[in-house]
Amino acid sequence: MITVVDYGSGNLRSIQKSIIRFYPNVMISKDPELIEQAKAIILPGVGAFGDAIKDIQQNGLYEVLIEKIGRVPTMGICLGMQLLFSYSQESSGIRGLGIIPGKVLNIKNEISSSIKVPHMGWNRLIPISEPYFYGYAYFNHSYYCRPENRSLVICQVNHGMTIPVIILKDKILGVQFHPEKSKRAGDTLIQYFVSLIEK
Amino acid sequence: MKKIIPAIDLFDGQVVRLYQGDFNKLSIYSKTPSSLLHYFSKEGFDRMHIINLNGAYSGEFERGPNYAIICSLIEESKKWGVNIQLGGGLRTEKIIKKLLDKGLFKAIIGTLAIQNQKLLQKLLKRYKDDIIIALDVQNNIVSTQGWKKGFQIELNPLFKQFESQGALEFIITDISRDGTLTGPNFEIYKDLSKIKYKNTKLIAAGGISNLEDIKNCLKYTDGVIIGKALYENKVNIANLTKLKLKYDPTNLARRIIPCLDVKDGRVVKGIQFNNLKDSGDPVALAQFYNQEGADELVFLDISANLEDRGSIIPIIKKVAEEIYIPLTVGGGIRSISEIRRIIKAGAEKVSINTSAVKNPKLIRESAQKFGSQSIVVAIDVKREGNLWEVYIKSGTESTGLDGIAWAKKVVNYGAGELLVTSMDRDGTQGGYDLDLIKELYKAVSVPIIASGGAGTHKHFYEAINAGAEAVLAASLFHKRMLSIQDLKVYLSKKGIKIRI
Repeated sequence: MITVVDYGSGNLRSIQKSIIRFYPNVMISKDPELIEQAKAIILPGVGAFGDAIKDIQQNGLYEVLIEKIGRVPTMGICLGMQLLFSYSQESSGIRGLGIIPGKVLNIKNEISSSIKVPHMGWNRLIPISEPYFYGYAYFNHSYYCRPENRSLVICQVNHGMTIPVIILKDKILGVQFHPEKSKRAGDTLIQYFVSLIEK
Repeated sequence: MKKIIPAIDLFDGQVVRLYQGDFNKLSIYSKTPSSLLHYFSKEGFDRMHIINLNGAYSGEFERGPNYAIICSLIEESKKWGVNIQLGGGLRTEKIIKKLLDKGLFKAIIGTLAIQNQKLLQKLLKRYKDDIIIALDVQNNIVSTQGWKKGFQIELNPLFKQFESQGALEFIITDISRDGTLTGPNFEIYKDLSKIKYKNTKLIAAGGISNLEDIKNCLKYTDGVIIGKALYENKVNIANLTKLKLKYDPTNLARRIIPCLDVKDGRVVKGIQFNNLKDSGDPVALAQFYNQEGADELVFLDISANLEDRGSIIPIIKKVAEEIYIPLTVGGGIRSISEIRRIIKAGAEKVSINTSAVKNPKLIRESAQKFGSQSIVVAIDVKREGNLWEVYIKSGTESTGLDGIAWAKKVVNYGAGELLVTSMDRDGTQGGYDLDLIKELYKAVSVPIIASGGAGTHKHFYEAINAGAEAVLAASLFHKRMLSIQDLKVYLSKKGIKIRI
């Protein structure tokens, strides 16, 4: 069973449905006990860093997520990827899950003002190490993840700077774009995630 | 945006470089051309220059082992989102059309352009945006045919002649420098940059030996092709990647967005699709536009009773769960709870218009709650000289607000994107208000969706050049006056980054 963690963010059915095409058992849940039993976890996210962490705490999910992420294959999507870090410039007083060392930073502070932020729309993936993901993917974000260990970054994009967009650490995948909206590039990523479960 | 274009020269199926075009002085760099396409693509380059040397020599493009390799490179390039410009023995319309149909970005013609005026004119008429003319030059004299037979034609008059016949893009190679790593002949490019039309694209090739050469060429040209220096490590790939980022900073594609008016769960206003059983069904239309290549959709909910958003919520859910196309929903949104329902249903973004003016706090609160990237502010303006006045309530009420100042303000409040409609242009099909887009582009840091006035392919191109990140149209798409697919191909050939 893949469990999509429901802590009150966007439409999780679209994520669920896009994964079901490659893996039959996908559940949406906010029950810590069910999440505890999951074979794999999807951490979605739409919105702001601070609010998401508060929602996770209010739903009593903070501990179970820290316990579970990395022990089973986990995919953090968009804000869900950023939540894997401890610090975000978006909500500097609030501590994230702190599973991957590094920071979440505002793109705007790092690039020329002629490049527009939020980073919104379809950007061309630049794979840097295996497994390779390529083609166009759909983005919609203003902050980006910078892991301390750069070798975790397996894919990036150019948008006034190089933005890490897929990180892979053992069984943990973080993806800045929306695989459920990214057509072929999204499908190959989901298939790869499913292969982590079957390993 | 200026392009740095890695070169892949193919000889007997291998990647090679020649020294001054001489087939007896050849170095082999790779036996697997596709691995080089992947390699450059992984370094961030999105345009590659491929030459079929056997074809250039024999004049028969399809003979020998290169052809099959080239076809598979074109296939790969589509998957990776890379554009290929290809030449070397392209002498007939048939082969050029065949390759373009396979998805080739641009065909490079050299010998043909000089030797077959009739065919050239035909090609420039039919495939103007798909053709690059390559001229090899030595002491300002043009030569052709795999650099073997000499012709005595001067460069500048020939260049102007081709330009006047409709050629839009040129590669100029100084063959006395090519493969020598002695530095390019900047004078040629400087001269041509002075005499060329403004929109003519000029690409330099030959003799590039270091990063300074590239920078100096790009002072006068729109692109530069780099081959040998890269293969022989005269130019470090990491440094070249950095330079690419400076001249060509983002690979983000510009977006094409159809806008649908939805009333009580049905699409209204002028939808004319013969192939749709129910052209009032928003989900069916979303599916149609998704397949056509639309990058996002905007649903404008114009239902009379918006209290609980009863009619649009199930539609948003269906689009999010079945079609997966990114969706922005607008129309009469007044509260955080409405925004929450729309986003929870699966919309990527909400668009606020009248309420943003009446209650600017809504922008700030919603941006804090859902992130700026989820909040679009729609601004409808009417032009007054060189100013634009903001209107609300579907354009029925003037506000006295200055459009540009208002745009800055809403971005300060936290809007992540602006959907700006020129009411003067809306429905005219006479083109977007380019002055408005330019002013906004300068004024704000967030992406702008231009709306109002699109009528032709060129209008979209102009709006993007003026600074629009995305371009929106309604009846033009609904009435099938132009197809999104055709539009995207057109824009891509014009050098705009587009997801095809």
